[in-house]
Amino acid sequence: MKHHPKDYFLSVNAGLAVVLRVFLLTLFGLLCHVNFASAQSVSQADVISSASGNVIEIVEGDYIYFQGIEPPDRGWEAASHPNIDHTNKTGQHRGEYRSMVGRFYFDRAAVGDGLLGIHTIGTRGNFTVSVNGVEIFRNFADVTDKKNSWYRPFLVPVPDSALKTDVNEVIVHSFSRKSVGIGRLLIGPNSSLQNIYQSRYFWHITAPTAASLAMLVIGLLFLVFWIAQRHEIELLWLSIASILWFARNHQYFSGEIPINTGTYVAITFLSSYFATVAATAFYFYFIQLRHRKLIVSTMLFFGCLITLIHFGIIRPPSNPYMSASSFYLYAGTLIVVITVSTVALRDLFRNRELQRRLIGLGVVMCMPLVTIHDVTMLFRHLGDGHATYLGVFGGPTFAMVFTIAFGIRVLKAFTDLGKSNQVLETSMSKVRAELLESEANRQELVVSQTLTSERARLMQEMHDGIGSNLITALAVAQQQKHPRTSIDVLRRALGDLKLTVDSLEPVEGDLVALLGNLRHRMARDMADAGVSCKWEVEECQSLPWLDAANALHVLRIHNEAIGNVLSHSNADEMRIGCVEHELDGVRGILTYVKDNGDGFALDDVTNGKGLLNMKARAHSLHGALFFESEPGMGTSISLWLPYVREEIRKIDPQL
Amino acid sequence: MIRVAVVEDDPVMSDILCNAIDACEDMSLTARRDNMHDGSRMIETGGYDVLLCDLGLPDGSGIDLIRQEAATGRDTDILVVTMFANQKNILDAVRAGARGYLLKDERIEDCIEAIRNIRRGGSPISPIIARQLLKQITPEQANDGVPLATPLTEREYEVLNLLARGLSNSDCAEVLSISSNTVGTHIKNIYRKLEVNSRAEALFEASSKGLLS
Repeated sequence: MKHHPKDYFLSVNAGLAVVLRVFLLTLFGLLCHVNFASAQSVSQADVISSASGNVIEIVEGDYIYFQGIEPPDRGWEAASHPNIDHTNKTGQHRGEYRSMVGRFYFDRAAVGDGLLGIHTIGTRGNFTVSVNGVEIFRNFADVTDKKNSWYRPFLVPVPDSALKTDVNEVIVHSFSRKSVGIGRLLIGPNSSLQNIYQSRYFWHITAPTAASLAMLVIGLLFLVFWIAQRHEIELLWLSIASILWFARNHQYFSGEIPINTGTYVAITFLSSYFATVAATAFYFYFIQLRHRKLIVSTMLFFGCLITLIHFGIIRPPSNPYMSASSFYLYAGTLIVVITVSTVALRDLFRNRELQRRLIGLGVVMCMPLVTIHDVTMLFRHLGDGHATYLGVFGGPTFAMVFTIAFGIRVLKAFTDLGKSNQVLETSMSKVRAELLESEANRQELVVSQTLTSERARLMQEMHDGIGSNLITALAVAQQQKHPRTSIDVLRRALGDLKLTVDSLEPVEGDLVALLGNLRHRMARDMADAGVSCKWEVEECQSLPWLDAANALHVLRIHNEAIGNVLSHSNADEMRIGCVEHELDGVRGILTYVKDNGDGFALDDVTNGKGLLNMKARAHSLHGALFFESEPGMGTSISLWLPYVREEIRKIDPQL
Repeated sequence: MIRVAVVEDDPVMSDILCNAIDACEDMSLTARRDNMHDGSRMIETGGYDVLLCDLGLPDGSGIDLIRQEAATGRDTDILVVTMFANQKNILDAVRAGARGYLLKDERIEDCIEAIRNIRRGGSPISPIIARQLLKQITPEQANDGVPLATPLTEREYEVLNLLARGLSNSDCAEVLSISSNTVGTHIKNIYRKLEVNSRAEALFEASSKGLLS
């Protein structure tokens, strides 16, 4: 790999490893001093007891490093095992084939009986395994294959025919265009190794593959969701984080490098930073952190710098311990992780929402774990087969936690939506009811306006049609000296039409003007009948309810009353007037038509049709009609009308 | 001698009017037309003191004829021949220049009297019309109309006020201690002011629309 084996980190991690190994060595050395004794001819190895026989783990061997693939015979150097040669350790450049051959000896008697196997994890690149000079395994079909086997366990069965009964030689030849090396090596009964191998295979390959693929699917799904819901930017971040994490994890479980090695390395290397940033961005957008846009932009900008450094476009001052790109990537990742963990920790205490706590916990637990793993493991690239990395599950766990949290939020939103729909529906129905009411009012208004204009139209019709015909008929009747009765009928018809026309005049409830007009119209008739008229009006308020229909009732009552005086009373004087008058405590106007004529005995006229009509009209006006007459004392008809009508008074008692 | 011209499309009505006028010793019928077109040409010629004009003519509105007559500036009295004397028609006619009205069902002798009356300087008015006028021209209620360019005199205002309260001309004369004829004259003057005002309004409207000046 391009990034330098980070001696600084190595010293820390390897230091730990060395302490551990020394401890183990001492332990096993004490237990198996026999093996130590025969160490002259066999490689140093730890012995791991097993039910089906001892399994030994190689801890020392002889090695040759060289350029190219074909190994030279000489130059073996003893070293501890596992032995990994990272890219550039020996000044090599990626792109040229390099090899490492390791040679190990074991005593057939030191391992258990039965079919033997060799189990290796972390042996780099393409490799072959030979026993006693016979090649028994190779992990590649063609030399040019780009095998990626640093994390992959292999179990190689050793045919009995290849084995000697005493000391056996095992040669592992690893070659690659990047790191080479021979990882953890276990030799023992095949059945014992099977268990180890299967467990390793599951945790190193099967589980990471499944988890990463699941994460990839989630990421792609969220991408689709985001395309449908562009404003939900969290979806995009979640998607990017998942996809990048898959890219980063690919090197764990993939047996082969599917693309150009340099590109592959760049992707796996850089994606670890960008995946962290994308996950952080998701989290910050999810909790609506202030200045999130600025923070995420800064992180992404830093990522771009790292990318440029990685491709050598920018060359910052280098560091004696590691390559610049690695230094900045790890430093950047560390800053991001510290930031996000701090925010998450703070949010954990501040926010008690379930999904927020869940995600906060996820961030607080996962982020440092994954990053510490990332930083240490990617740095060390020890990959000697001892370690099973939890980090590979960090991304999928993260994605899962985020998905669940997001799901909870979406579910909650749905619930809220349902509730707000309910609220909306309630207010909608309220508004609808109001609308209906106002529409009904409007309709009523329209109807009343239509009625008014229709009435006016009808009047115009009467005016032009009936009216002019009546007038012509009257003129003709008069000209041709028709009997007076027929002329009177025509006059009465015309008079009634006039009343109707007058009732339509807008007088704004001015009863005096209305009656005055009637008197004005009848002035000629009065003069003809020889009745003088005294007009006795007092100042009265207007009647708010006096519309055309009511005005017509008022006019007809008075027309009838005046007509009676003129036709039947033999009076020579009549008084028409109006005055404010309270009836049963209700304020109103009293109008009257009084004459000094013959008068009647009440019984004679009580049931008269004219009077009944007048009473009916007074009733429909919500008023009262009073009739007073005595023979020889004249007649008085009065009409009392309230200022405010009963039903209106009930609505507003203030009036 | 009162020279009378008649524009009336109803032949029966026209006959009655014309015959009655002809029969009067102090009146002469100078022209008789039954549509707007002929009426208009008649107005161009002139030669009468009183113009009786129906509003609903077959080829247009009598209002236009009245306006045409008023525009000549002659000392002609215009009477509208109407069926009911409803306030809209009367007020429109007054604004156009009419000074009074005849009701079609009025007794013919009353009609002749009305012609004489108008010539003597008196105009009729009904309480409802008086009320409407008051409402339109009283300064404090001017929001409903435009205050008159030449305001009513106090006496004219009093007359209008009494008439609007339903008092007859003679009642009114009695209250104000003037003659009935004077009441009629006041009314005629009120009508004139109304007409002048309506012309001023039309002028204002025209100038504000940029038709004049």
